[in-house]
Amino acid sequence: MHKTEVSRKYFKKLFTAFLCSSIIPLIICVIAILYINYKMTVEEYDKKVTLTSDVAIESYENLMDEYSNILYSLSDESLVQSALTNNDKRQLNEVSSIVNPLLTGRKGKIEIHIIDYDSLISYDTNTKSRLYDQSIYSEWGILYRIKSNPYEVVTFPGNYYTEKDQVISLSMGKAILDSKNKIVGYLILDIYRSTLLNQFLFVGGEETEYVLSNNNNVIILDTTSHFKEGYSVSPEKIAQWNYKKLKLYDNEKNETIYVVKQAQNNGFSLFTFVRVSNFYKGISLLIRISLIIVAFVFLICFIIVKVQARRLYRPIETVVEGMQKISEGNIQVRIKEDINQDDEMTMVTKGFNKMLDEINVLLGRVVEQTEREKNAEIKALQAQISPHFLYNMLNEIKALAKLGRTEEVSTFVISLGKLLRHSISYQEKFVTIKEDLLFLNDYLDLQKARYENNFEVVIEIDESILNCRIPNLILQPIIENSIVHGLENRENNSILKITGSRDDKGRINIEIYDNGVGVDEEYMQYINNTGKSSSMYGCLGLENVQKRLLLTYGSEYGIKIESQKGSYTKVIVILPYQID
Amino acid sequence: MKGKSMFFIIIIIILFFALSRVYKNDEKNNGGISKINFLISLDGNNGNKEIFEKYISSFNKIDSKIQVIPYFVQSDVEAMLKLIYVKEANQKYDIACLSSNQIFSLVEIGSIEPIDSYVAESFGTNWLEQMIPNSMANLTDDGKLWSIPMIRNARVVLFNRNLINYNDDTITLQELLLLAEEQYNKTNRTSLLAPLSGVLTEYISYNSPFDSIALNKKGNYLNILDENKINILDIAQKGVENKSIKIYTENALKGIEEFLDGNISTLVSNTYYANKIINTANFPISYIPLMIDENTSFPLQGSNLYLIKQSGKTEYTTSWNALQKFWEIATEDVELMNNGHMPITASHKENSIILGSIDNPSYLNAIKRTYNGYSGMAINQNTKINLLLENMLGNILNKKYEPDKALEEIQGIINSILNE
Repeated sequence: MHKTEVSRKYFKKLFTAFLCSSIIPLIICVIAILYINYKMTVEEYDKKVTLTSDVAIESYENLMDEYSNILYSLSDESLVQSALTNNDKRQLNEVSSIVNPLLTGRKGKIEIHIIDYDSLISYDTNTKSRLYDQSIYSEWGILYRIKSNPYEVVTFPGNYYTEKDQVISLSMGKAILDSKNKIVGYLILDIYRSTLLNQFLFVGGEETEYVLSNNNNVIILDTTSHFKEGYSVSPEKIAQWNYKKLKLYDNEKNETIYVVKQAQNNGFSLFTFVRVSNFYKGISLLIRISLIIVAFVFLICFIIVKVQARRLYRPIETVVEGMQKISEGNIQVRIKEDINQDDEMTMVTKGFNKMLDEINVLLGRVVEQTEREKNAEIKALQAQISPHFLYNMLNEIKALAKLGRTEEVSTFVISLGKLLRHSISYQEKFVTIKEDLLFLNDYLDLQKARYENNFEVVIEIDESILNCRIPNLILQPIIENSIVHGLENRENNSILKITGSRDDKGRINIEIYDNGVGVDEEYMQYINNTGKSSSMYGCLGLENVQKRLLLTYGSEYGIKIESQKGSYTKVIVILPYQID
Repeated sequence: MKGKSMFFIIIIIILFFALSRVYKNDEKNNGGISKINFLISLDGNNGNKEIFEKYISSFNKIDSKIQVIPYFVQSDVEAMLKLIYVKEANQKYDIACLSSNQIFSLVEIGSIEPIDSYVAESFGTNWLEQMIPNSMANLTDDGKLWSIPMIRNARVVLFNRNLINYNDDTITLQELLLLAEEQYNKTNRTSLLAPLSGVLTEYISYNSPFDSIALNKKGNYLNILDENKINILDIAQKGVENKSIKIYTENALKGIEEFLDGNISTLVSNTYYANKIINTANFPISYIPLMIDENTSFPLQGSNLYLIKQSGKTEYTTSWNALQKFWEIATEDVELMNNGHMPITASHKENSIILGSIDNPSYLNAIKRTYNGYSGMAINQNTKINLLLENMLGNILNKKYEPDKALEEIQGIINSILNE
């Protein structure tokens, strides 16, 4: 579990890094292209609408100037002034000689009305609006504006129909003054809708529409069909037209998008609307296509990146797996080197393998060294037994010789000789129990002789374990200990019993029992825990055996002492069952 | 924690009250319905309350979002007082219907809101083209449109065909007065019954807007010291004195009982009463428009719809919508003609004729161009002048003053008023 978590985290990082580094530039690229395209096109439209607007407003200004000049010119005509001052209808009709030339080339574009101050007589090139009646509308509309600004040309939105059902969209007016600058009449020039329309018709192209409004937001001309001519629009709505992008809906809720530019001239606002719906539709389509492509590319990148990441990660994974195995104790693992690759990972793999080889070698040396040291220690320990035993025997011989027990000295020497011969012959580290028993019998004979058969020996070993191999010189020191420290001071009924069998774990249990004086609790504890500390008691025998057994087999085996002071001592030797 | 909770509770309470103020509708929204208080003076429509009740009932049925609540008063004066003292009376009015000649007084007391922008937004600039011009007199001043016409009547002269035979299409005031004198000389009886005070006030204050002096004068101008006007007053004074002319108060049917009795040959009234008189009388009657001069009719009478100004308010869309709809109901009522009222729009006229609701359509064509009775005068000054003139005319007709001297004196006062 831990192994999986570690490897996957780095893989995810690797995968994410690859994916991001492949997708993000693409996305940035797409966004940049879309944005630049959008910006450039918007700029193009802005330029177009600005240019168109400038041309359109100039065209409109020219038209207004042209008609203003007509008004100024006519209002200055003495014939006109005289006819109105004299209130002479017949004379007023004669102004046609002045008006008609002015209308040359302008027929169907404008109409002219010359109205006297009480609206009783007038000269009209066509029907006139009801609003030109001084008796009703002197205080409102174009008459009011003319009256209020007698020296200037004024305008007023029209929106009435002539006899021929043509629409007058805009009226211009001027006061007619007499020689004393008194108003004697009104001069009004009506402009047809078609005239205004024609001014803008060839400016801008098919995508361009116009809305002309006055300073009261009354729509004078609208080619977008979104607004009603002759009606006013709220200032809030008009304010929205100054935005770069404007969405308008027709009656069927179809949307059209415009870029709008406002140009102003003498109280009029000309809004140039350039239709950009197709552009935004195109952008929208482009964005959708881009998203689809990005999604598709993302998918492909995902797969490719995953494959590539896995491929690149594999050597790392192998190294990690190897390290995991090592941490579990298997130092024999080696990473397979790809001979076709010659990159850094190959170097890592080679290095890793080399490192393991060297570790193995070092470990081998350490093991060997440890083994040698162990063996040396064992041998040293083992070697401790033989001089110790020999010393004891020679002391015994000396004692017997001093006592003059020459028969016994002879028996002793002969038995000792057998033992020494046995020791020399059997320098093996391990012997079978059967072989060790032979040695023990000789030893016991020697001891019996020494202690004048003062103790009884019982040996009961299972036949099944006779061929089991045990370390050499394990039992003898224990028996010696029992005889010397356990039974020596006991006068009669001393028993030394040696039993051997297998326990339920399959281990060899050899028990050396004596009904001697027993051992101290402290000593018993010490021996049972020997291995952890250096010698404390100077009794080399049991301690030596314990250490040897621990070194050879580990802490699971060794000797255990059970004793009751003054009653008995039982030493249990636990060994593994080994035949080879 | 407790302190924090209290703080949040206080904030929520404050927000609640703030939002409740925001949502408070100044036109008394009640579950989404706007209530419009409609002040109606019965002066302008000759006391015909039924018409308004009919229209209001139609209105409230058509529009579920606006409910019109009428407040009827008997006279324009009462209506004006109510408008002046709205604050004290704690009563707000959104729209009003008063006589057409009250427009300038209403502007003077600041009670009405110009409607140009609303007309432009709702009807468009060509809306006025469809209006019969005479119905639009006295609606504009100083470049603004102040109200829209709802009911119009013309001054007409009715003749008892059994007593007098007058065959012209129109008659001027001077001709009428002279005719009365002639009839009196023949029969030695009162021959003309007229609301002379009102007629003469209109006549005297008729300021020729066609006078270029008036057109060009900087400031305001009213010329009453006119030979024709002095002459008319002389004739009128004489007629009252010798009882060839009897004066009655307008809008009172009681005053015309003598005509209905068949004792007086000529009656000056308006088209509204003419209808009733013709239906009531048991003798044949003809009627023709009364003119100021051969080219100029007396201004049409009637009532207008006004948008009432509210203090602190700048937007009147709902009130305007109610006013607009009310006007549309009125001008679509072809039955209006049966009551003697005149059409306001060309289509109104056409439909009325087609449906036969006008029994004497020729008089419509006989009505000539009329005039803005107070054009050229300062808006805040004509009330004073109007009262002066009425007072003066009363004294002239009672022979307390001579016309020429009285007019001269009044002209001086008028000039000083106008130059204030």
